[in-house]
Amino acid sequence: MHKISSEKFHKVLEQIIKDNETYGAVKKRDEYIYDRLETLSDLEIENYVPTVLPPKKYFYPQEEDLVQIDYKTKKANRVIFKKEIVLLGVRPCDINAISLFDRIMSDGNPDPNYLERRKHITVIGFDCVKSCWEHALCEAVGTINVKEGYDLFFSEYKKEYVIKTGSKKGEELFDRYIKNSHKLSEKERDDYHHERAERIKKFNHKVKYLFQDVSSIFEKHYDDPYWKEIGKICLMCGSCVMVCPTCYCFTMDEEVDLKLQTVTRKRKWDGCMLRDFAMVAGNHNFRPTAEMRLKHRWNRKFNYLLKKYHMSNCVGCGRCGFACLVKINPIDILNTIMGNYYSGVKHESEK
Amino acid sequence: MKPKVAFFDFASCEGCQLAVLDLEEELLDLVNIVEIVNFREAISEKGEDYEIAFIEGSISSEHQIERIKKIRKQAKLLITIGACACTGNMQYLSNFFDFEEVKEYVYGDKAKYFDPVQSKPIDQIVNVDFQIPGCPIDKYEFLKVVKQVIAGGLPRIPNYPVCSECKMQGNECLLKKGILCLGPVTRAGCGAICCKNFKYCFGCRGLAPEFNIESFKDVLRSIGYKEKGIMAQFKIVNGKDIQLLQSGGK
Ligand code: SF4
Ligand code: SF4
Ligand code: SF4
Ligand code: SF4
Ligand code: SF4
Repeated sequence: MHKISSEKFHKVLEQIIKDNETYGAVKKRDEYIYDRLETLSDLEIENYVPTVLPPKKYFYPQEEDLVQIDYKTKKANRVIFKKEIVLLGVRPCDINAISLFDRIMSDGNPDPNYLERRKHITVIGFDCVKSCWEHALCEAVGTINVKEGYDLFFSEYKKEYVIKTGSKKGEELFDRYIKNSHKLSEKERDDYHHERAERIKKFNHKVKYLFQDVSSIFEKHYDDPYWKEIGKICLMCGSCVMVCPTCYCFTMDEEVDLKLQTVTRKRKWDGCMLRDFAMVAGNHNFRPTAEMRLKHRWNRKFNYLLKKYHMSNCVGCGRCGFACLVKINPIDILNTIMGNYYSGVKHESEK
Repeated sequence: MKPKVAFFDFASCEGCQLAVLDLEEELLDLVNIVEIVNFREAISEKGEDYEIAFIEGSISSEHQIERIKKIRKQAKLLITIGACACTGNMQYLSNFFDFEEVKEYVYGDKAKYFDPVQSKPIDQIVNVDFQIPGCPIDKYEFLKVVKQVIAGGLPRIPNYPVCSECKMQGNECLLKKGILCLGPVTRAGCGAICCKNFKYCFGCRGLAPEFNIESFKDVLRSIGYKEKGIMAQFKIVNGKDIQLLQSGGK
């Protein structure tokens, strides 16, 4: 662990932007989006709140070509779009989401498109010194700390910046851009960790119950009446899944070119809150109601996938809660379901 | 053999046909895979041996009813293009008034020389095989549907609401800022082009196959809309569906 002065921190970032195709949080109208950085002043550092879309769009684009098939010979060729880019200022919640994606996409049947593209994307993270907005629950779900998913990570400490490297690429970046820096002594390290822990204590503490029991509670309260309640108001608009850094559901589409020579198979974002997602032949739908879809989505986040990957699959950014026009959000969901469990509210099926 | 294609217009502004002609770069390739035998807006020949008919516009006279029935008889595939043909668009508003008054308002004492009927979308007169909605249509969606039909597949357009597409674009939400937007109940496929340009979605692509109207009305009430104002917004393009909805038909 090393540290550099604030002045050097800014110089380093400026140089990185100059040398690389760099993207980061930029203010659009009232909100932020990940966009191309021309200079450091484009980047929002201090007043960051989660961007409309997470950086996921660079790893896992809204729409991508997977395979091209020759109409006549039926020969298929894999298509992989990749580009050398740097993402600058990625926050802990989003870094945890990237690290989850890395695991999910290499699990079972590895996804070559994602993994190949991923190799070319450099992630430079920034720590959060304060809660970004009232929708966040990173502190509750444990994603304010980062273990992997980044190359370099900067954390403010006493008006200076502590640097962590998270990969070989990160070490190379460190050698190239930073080099001369102060190595933290053991005492300084302890102090840094202590100070960081103190500042996290001041974050939002809106989730009232201990998170570690969440999956068993969600299991036991599978038929909690709250699902019906929010199912009634849900617009089934899909905004929540589109803005989520950990949602990866997709649909396939084929498009033939105008000369009728090549068919391209495309992958596009889809989501479990939408009608066609669980639609099968004969117009049957496995999850026809908003209630069933919400139950499914949130059990994925806090139960099924949490158990599989041993970490919350909601990284707590709060984007969905902000985007939802009827204010369905993870903080209320956790508080209500866990609250109902602890206060002994009966399931639908027990009534 | 290239399939023979015809375009016909009824009560419309012809904007959707212009959108097709606006496919400048693709047009030459398009006529390599289909033969256009009838397209008043573009060619002077008139062939009657078409297999696929694209219909623009709504039906607003007895004469047009006869004409669309004749087209239906000839066409193997009848595809409506644009809001006028698909949902009835704003001319459908005539259905909400006393028709004698409407006629008098439009034609004055000459009404007896015309044969108007209350404006209807095509599917209220004849069977429609597929709809490409929008006011105007998205030319690339049109192209996609043509290719899907030629390749022998079933055409597909998005079934989800504009909000999903709006978020995919990374747009800031208008409704969140207290500006009216019909995105949550409207069928996507336009790339949320209005919201992207910070204009509200007025629902030109018709209602999505699935939506939660009561909850959506509550959202609009929360930004200050009253029932009457909400209904007026819906009726701009989707009068027919709102009528069906109110009578419990959808
Ligand atoms: S579920 Fe919501 S809060 Fe959690 S990661 Fe996804 S968008 Fe963020
Ligand atoms: S949710 Fe937490 S980690 Fe993410 S930006 Fe906000 S404060 Fe930072
Ligand atoms: S954003 Fe809200 S209303 Fe829309 S699908 Fe998600 S939970 Fe339902
Ligand atoms: S601007 Fe309109 S379409 Fe976009 S998310 Fe908001 S309500 Fe939906
Ligand atoms: S955003 Fe709405 S009004 Fe605009 S083109 Fe799309 S459906 Fe039509």
